[in-house]
Amino acid sequence: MEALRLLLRDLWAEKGRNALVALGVTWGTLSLTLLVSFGWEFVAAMNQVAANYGRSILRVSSGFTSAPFEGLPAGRFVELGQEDADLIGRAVPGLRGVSVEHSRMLGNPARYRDRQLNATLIGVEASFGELRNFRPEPGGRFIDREDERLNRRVAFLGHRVRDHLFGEEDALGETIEVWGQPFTVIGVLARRTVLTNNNGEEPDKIAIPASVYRELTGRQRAEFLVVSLRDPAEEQRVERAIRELLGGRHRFDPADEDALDVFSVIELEQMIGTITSSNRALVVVVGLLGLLVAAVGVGNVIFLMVQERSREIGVQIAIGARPRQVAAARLVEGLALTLSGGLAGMLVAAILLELAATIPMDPEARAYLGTPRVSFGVAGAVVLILMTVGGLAGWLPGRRAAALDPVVALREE
Amino acid sequence: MKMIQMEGVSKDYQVGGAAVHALSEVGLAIGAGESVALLGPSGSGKSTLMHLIGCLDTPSRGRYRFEGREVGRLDVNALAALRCATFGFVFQRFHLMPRATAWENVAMPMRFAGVAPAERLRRAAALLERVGLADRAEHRPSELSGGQQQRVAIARALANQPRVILADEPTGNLDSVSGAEVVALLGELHGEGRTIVTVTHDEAIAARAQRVIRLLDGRVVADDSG
Repeated sequence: MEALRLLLRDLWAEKGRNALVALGVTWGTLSLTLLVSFGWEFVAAMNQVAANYGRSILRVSSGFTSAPFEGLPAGRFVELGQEDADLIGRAVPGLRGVSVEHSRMLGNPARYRDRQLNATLIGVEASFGELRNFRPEPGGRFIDREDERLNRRVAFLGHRVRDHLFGEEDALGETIEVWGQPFTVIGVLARRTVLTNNNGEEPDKIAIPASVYRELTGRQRAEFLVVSLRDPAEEQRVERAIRELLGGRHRFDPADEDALDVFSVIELEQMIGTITSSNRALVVVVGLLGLLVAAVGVGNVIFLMVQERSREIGVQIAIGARPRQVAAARLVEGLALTLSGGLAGMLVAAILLELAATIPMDPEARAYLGTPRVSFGVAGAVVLILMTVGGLAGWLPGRRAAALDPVVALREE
Repeated sequence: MKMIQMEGVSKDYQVGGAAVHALSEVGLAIGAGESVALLGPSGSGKSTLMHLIGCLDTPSRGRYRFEGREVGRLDVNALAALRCATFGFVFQRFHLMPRATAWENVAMPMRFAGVAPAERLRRAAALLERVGLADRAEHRPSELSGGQQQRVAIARALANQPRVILADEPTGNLDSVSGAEVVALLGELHGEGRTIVTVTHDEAIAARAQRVIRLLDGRVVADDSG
């Protein structure tokens, strides 16, 4: 207790400079913690946005042939459908799954009681939910195999469709009218942000089983085949396999790029991967530089402070202090200064991030920025490093002064 | 064997590449309970001799035995322990810790000796009482006069009940009244059986000692027991 009192007294006696040192550590901890928290959260949020669309997706859609093939003329439309999806699923290895995606604007609106909405209707397979990461809000579910098998009239709503038709009311289990037919609402798409859309935005869509869609609309044509790869590195092989497979079935040259339009989300993912990893690297580099500056500054001031006190240290040695006792006192002083500054920095960072989280922001922007929280691991590491520097900066000159001949130290004035 | 025994002790310093012979071939024996003045002009080596006696420094050549122990063979920690338990230092410039109060200064050597906090407080209070500064216990050195500071330093020198008090020009920075008080205090300590070694260039102060050792150019030139 007395040691603590003496320590505080010594620190208080030099309060101006000690406050500067502590402030330096506070600032260093604060800025590095904020930098890393924002940087890391941004990376995590970007990755989450990328993951929201579903992993490693190739979106295949119809095209027109650009060259004559096997006696057939150029300019033929390649119409895709359920059989193509089934064929790809059976014949191409390395896939997580395939689903058709029929898609069209409703000719007559979806209705619930007196409300109506011109939504986009999509007909998809049960696997689509998993592949495209269509997560329901709590309590709901996506279309499943039983719905498909029994041709159930069930609908999974985009949340804006729900908002429009139901307002604040609970949509689950309610019956809506789609294409003049009653459908039971089984789930509502949870809010999320995605990288890309096709044929309108997801929140404005109503998903029903593909088989029901075909029965209802009489259309067999699938706007998209959604293909998900196990390994994104296999993108080229899988695309080639799909072109060969469908080229054989629809009789076009697999080398005819225009016959099929293959949109790769994998490339977007990779671009995001590049952005996020360079962002991470930037954070690390800037962080380390900042840490270095803080460490040099803090170390320097403590070092000078202890050095200025060599005569005092000499006197202490003369009146019986062991060199180790003297050096230990300076070590503790350095540690205490940097620790208190570091804890203050962590606290301020936590408060600022809490405040930042309450700033009203467009949900889309929030999805990309994320909601950073203090990384106590990072903050702790920064404080530890600065404490090490502070401790050494106190201990080394303290030890040097203590090792000095007390006679010489007494003379140093 | 005397308490302090020196044979052929020399001390050289390197100052800017040149060797300075601060002490040459000093032979000296001081018994327990003696009162000794080391007298000489500045540069005569008297402070160096005091530092050697007080184990603040070790000889370049020769042997120094304190109570039969060869001081030159002790490591830094053993020297620190010996200083802490045996010697009390009084410096010309007081050398008090500027940020510490009077009683904290007095208690400091006890902290180094591992005395329990409550005991430190009790002993420091008693020592300040003894040097007449009980009412100044909470004052910092800057709030005390020179004479008061030196009395705090003497109380500090007494903290671990040392057998030897080493005073380096103890009155050098004091007015005559304060100086007389300090000299009287040292006389009292001698009266209690402590060994007192005072470094001075003042004949009058030296005259108060039982024995005067005169130094000149690093050599003992006279050793008179009064």
